Amino acid sequence: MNLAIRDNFLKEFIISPTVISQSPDLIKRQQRIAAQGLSYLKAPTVRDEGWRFTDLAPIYDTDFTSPTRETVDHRVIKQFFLPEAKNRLVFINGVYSNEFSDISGSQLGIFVGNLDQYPDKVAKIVEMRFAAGDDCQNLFFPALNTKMVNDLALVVVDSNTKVEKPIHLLHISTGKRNFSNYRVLVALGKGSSASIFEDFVSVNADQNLTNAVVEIAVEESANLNHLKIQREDPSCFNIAYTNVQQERNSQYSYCSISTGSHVDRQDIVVSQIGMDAECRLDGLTFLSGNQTGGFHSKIIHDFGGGTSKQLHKTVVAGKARSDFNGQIHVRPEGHLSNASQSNQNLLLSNKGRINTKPQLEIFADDVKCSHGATVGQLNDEEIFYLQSRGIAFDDARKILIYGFAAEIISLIGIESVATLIREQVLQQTGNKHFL
Amino acid sequence: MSARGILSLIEIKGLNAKIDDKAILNDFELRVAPGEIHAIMGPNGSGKSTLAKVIAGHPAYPVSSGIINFQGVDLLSKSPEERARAGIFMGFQYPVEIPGVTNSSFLRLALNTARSSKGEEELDPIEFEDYLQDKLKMLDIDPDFLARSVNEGFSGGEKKRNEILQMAVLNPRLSILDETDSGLDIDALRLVAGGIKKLSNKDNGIILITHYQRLLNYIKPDFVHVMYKGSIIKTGGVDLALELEDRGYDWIVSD
Ligand SMILES: Nc1ncnc2c1ncn2[C@@H]1O[C@H](COP(=O)(O)OP(=O)(O)OP(=O)(O)O)[C@@H](O)[C@H]1O
Ligand SMILES: [Mg+2]
Repeated sequence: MNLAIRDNFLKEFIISPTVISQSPDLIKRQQRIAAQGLSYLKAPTVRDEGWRFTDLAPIYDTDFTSPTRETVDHRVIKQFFLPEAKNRLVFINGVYSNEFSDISGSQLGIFVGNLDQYPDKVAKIVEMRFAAGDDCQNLFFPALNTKMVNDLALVVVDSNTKVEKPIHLLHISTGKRNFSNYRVLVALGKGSSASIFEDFVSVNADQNLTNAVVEIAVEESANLNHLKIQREDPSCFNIAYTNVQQERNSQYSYCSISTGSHVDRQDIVVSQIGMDAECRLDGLTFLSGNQTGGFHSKIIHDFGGGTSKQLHKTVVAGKARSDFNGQIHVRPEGHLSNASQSNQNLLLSNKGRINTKPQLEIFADDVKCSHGATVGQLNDEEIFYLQSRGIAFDDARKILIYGFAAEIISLIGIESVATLIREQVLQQTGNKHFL
Repeated sequence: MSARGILSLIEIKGLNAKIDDKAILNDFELRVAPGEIHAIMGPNGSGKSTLAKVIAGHPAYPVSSGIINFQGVDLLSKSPEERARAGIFMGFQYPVEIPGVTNSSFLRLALNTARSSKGEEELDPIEFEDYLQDKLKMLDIDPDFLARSVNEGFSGGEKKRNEILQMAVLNPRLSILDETDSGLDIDALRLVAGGIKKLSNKDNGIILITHYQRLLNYIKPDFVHVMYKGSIIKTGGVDLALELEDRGYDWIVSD
């Protein structure tokens, strides 16, 4: 890695002072703090802890520009709309699209929108929650995002309000070598519930970099279902940081599916900051060609009685590289925490690489913690069984790959998205007869 | 081709298969004519399952010499899927679990692959459901099984019933059923045996690999063979099975 290239990376963005002065007052203060952080932060390389197996060199070798206003064909965008969703926020290269967003489903107790217009109570929440964690000053990409954004995708649900229909957060990457920063803030009040669907897609995109930050607060006894699909163009880069604060008795379920982009790096931190919080992290990553995929999670059981259950599956074909790191941290106060983690990898070629690392840091003694990681290949007996029923060797392999992924696909709570992913996986594995 | 050859469904001659230099099939010979049911018995490790897998084309059991002629076609030059499409069906002694793949989509894919290879139209899910109804009833299989992953979490007996369901769906010309009766309770044995019997007709052949004469109470084989050290050492009728039940294998083996 040529460090000079890395150091020059996005320099104009990092030092540019103009960005903040143009952004809404509500977020300026945090942006200045992030900008200070950035003056000493360096973009991570394979020499940095946590990035050893996610090589960002292809990103540093690309000369990005600030996104220009792009227009995207109506019809193309509409095909991404979700039939089940009631509210939809559309951002194109990190910029809010009034034209394609639909917030008409906002009802009493729910705010879905951006920083163009918002009620006072939402302003308070943004002031309290935007870039509240240290990571937005201490980590390069989240800090850069914090400094660069001038809008937010906002979902705020009042106490005891149940949002029945999923809220669609659609991010469209388009154009050539655009560097976009995209920010989401979700806050669920006490006893409320909602479901959000983050969807990262590309339209005529070439070598774009999307740097996303999602901040989520799930207050006492609230329940959030969070589904994310990253299906960007294989020439693109997607870096995402998600931070979840879970209060007492809350539930948070995350399901992340990545099939796209040349480099896909996701970091998620879930902090249980109250007792008896429950969380689920499920994931599926499909990597082929020369894709690089990194999924790093950190679950912090801060108080007693918290549970977490994690299942992450990865399929690696071609010369792809996968890097899973699952940290579980139980503080001394985390009595009776119950954490389980499983990372299952399917390696389809001898040129692919898989790194998997569970990282358990347990500082309380009365906890249950289990973890397991497997790297396997397709099973010959299973292939033969299918062949013996007349199914061709290639199809048998595809069916087994599908079968490996199916467990995660079945966890997708939104039917049209489940169908979409099922179809996409089958298309990738190429069997039209199946299902 | 000899006159006998034309009449036979499958003809196996001088078949030898080795694993790691250990001979498992030893100049094995067998001929099955259309409409016949053959039982193969024999002590553990005598090569019965290996024979079934070699016929089905398992890649782990390379054939060093011999021929398998199936309806005039050289079977050994065909891939496992080509053999299946030609009408060979093997019921596994240990059916394999396929996580994440539902039994119904698996069965339908298998049937549609066979149909399209014969130039017949594929069945859509609704037509397939109809097609399955009486087969499920015949084997008393709960339709809930169709939504579950192939064999995953099935009990031993359920797996065996599922094998016969696949046989019923595919309607093969030659079925080699490897210990399909093992692990079945008394009622399930009656059902499965009844199913196999119904599926038997004048055009197809069935090879039953079994350890127990009990199955043969329900399905009367035309021949009972004893396999030992990779070849058939004795052939008889149903009486032979009864005698084996009584006396074990020692008297034949030590001859
Ligand atoms: N994959 C293999 N690798 C090594 N040895 C094998 C393999 N498969 C079979 N064998 C050996 O070949 C011999 C025949 O095995 P096979 O399973 O065909 O016997 P079988 O007659 O079906 O026995 P059983 O009645 O117990 O089912 C045994 O000695 C077995 O250990
Ligand atoms: Mg056997």
